[in-house]
Amino acid sequence: MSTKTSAVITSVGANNKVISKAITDINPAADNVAIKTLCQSLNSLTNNTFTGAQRIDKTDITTATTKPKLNLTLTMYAQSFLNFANTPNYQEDNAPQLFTNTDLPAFTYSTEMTLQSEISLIFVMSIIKGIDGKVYFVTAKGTTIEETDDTQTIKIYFEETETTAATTAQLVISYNAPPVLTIL
Amino acid sequence: MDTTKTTKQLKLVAGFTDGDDRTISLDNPRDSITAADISAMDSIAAGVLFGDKAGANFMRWKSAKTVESSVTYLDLTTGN
Repeated sequence: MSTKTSAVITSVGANNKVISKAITDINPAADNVAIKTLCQSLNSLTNNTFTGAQRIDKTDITTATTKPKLNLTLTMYAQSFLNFANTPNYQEDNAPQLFTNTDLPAFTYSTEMTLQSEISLIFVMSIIKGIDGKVYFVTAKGTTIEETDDTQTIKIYFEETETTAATTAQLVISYNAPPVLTIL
Repeated sequence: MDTTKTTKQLKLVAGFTDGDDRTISLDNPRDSITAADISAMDSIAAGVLFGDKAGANFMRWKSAKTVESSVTYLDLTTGN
């Protein structure tokens, strides 16, 4: 990782002139209090009135030559009577997965995707018809993420509550990978 | 009429463990700066300042000096 940290001392000089003084090559591990103290100390050697200090962290992404791959395993578990019927029709463009069936077994989906800084899962809709013919409101009960150096396994656990509000039985799940790439 | 502008800077030289030096220049320094003022900042800079080459740790302030310079701007309108 290549991170450059600098600090900027802001002060007011003669004739109320605002002055900014950059101090480069700050230790990225230094905490903000220590950096501010140094900025104040340096400014105290001048006739300028200290008004603030800013910390700037820059990450150099130009050195990245390859994007590591992440093996993503998405596993969804539901209580037995919901049982999903079909293998999900997953699309590589991260489009939502749509399930309209009433008898689906718990399934596991695996894919390889470009490693992102994080993956967040979005549950768009969660109404499903059980094999008993009743319509259930399905919610994600819990999510676990297990990580190794290049593998991330996400397990989603569902629970269901019977509802009479819905006439459409479908479950839509999508995941969202943020566009910001921080892998160096 | 020619104009003369005088500026003053404090130049602090930081020494790092890899033997490298780095100068920090501050405009408009106080007149009453003492060596003790500079030495007191040794502990404040430690752990915060890095060497700009190998990222070496700050060791101490090696020197401090004030530099005064004056620049004279010639009035070119009078010669025409």
